[in-house]
Amino acid sequence: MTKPFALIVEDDRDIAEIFNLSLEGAGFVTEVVRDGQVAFERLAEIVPDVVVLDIHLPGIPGNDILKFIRSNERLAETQVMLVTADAARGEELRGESDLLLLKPVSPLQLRTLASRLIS
Amino acid sequence: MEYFGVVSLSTLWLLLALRYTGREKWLASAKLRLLFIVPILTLLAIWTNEAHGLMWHQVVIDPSDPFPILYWMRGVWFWVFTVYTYLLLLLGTILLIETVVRSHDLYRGQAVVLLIGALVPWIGNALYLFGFDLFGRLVPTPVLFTFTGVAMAWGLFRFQLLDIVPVAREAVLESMSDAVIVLDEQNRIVDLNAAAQSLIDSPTSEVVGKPFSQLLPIGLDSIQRWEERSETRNEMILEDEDHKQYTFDPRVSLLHDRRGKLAGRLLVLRDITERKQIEEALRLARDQALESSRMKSRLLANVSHELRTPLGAILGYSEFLRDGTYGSVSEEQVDILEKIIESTSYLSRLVSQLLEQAKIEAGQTTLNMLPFSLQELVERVESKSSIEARAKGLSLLFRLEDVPNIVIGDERKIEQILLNLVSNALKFTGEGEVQVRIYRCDEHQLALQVTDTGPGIPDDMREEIFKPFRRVDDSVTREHGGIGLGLAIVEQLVMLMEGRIELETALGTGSTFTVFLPIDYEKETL
Repeated sequence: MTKPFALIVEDDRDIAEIFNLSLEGAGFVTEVVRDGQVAFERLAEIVPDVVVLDIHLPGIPGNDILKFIRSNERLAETQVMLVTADAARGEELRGESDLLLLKPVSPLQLRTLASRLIS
Repeated sequence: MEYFGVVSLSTLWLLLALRYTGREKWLASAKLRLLFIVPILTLLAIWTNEAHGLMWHQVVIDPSDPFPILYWMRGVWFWVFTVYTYLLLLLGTILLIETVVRSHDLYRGQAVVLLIGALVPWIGNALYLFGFDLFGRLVPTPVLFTFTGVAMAWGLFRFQLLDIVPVAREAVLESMSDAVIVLDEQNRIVDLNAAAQSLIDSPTSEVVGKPFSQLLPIGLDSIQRWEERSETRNEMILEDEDHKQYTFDPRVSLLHDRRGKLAGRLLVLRDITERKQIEEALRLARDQALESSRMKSRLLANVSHELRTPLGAILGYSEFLRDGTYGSVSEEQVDILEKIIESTSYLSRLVSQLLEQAKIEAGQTTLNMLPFSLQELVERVESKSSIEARAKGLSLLFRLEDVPNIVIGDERKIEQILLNLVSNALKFTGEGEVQVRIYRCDEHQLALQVTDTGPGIPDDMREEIFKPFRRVDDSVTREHGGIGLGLAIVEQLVMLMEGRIELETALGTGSTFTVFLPIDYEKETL
């Protein structure tokens, strides 16, 4: 069985690193992008099983990326975990995402929930 | 004695006229006593007439008459007295006529009756004096005064002569601080009171007859608008030479004549400048308070938001360290890392509470009603709070009774309510247990019940504990930490969901918080 693929879109270097370590530990193949524009370009090429998506991002904001994923037939199977420190914006997008997590997110929590999403 | 009335009559008449026309202040004057000099002298002259004959020269009995009647020839003082009497009479009458002309319709009748009653005997008397025989040789005065009596009686009953003096009405208008302007049907000024005069700043004589729009910066359209009261609050702003603005509350009443035809308008302008200034000050104060409340909410939200990211880094790295991701760690190091993780979790809950409170205060909290699993919600709360329960050696029991798994509600807020209640119970319970019961009250109500074996809540704190930043005891803050937002948030969220909270508590035994929430159940799961 091929390993699940997770794209982590998070601008904070430390948080991105923690998410990366956490998901690698859960058996994911990961890729980290720290800019909305880059995430957009990558999503035109790859089909991740899970996207861990921050909302406040340089370049293109997370909500636009979420919209792009939802409107793209090719990414129909992709699960989106919205991870944000902005509770208000997060709440607005809760319905469109597969899971909403408010920061701080513990590595254990992320690992467990991501694995549950793709199972 | 019979002459006493006759000599003082004209003076008393003038006094009546003065009083009736509102010149009381003249009545108070000491000079008024001078008016009685001539009557008193006359009275003296009458009594001593035999000695000097100043009143009458001769007294003759007409022997040819079957009824002998007294005849007299008038003396010098008689004519002095007569002239004086008629002068006073004339003065009083002029005053009355003036009032008749100026009075309101209602009172014009009164004044006319008074005038007739007074004038008839005097005119009759004058005619008699100058030789017109009205009743043969009889002195007509008593007969004519009978007429006066009738006229006065009529005035008394028909026009309530003594009830209200028209002057009272006029005095009210004149002393009113509201400007009163009477307009005719072509909107020309007919009358105005003192306040209106000072507003227009021209003497009455120059103002009467002119269209009001020439004198006041008001258009006909505004008058019509005020008349209809089409706006809940009409306002008129006038500016004086120093550009100081005055605000008036204008009222317009239509005046109709007897046949119901429009006769004019009554315009009343009330100066509400001061009230407006107070209102404005209040509005400013309110705006500032609202603005600072918004600032506070924004600041809290920003701070919470900015704190979350580094908290995530601390939490994440600590967990990796503990789990040996970066190399092996000793048992002691694991313990310390556990403490870091625990404190970080606690800190992140505080941040969440601050943010929640800020959002509620800013009125940004809205309900997000979606189907969710109660079972999963309870599991999350259980896993989050069991660490704290274990750390304190308390038993924590969750019971889900007769509740369908999927319900419709605001999942995150219900979770927050339950989490806050449980965490509050754990925090204040020294030993024993915390029990959580979730059950269905009826088709539309869900109950979340949290019972602890803590110290209980004193009666006077039953309401206080739900206020933000309040604690039963400040020493508790030092001992247990926290900022006193948990229950405040619970209450506010419950209110938002239109639910209610019940509290049963006994000192030394424990407390039970029960939250009732209106909720919908998914049809198929019922």
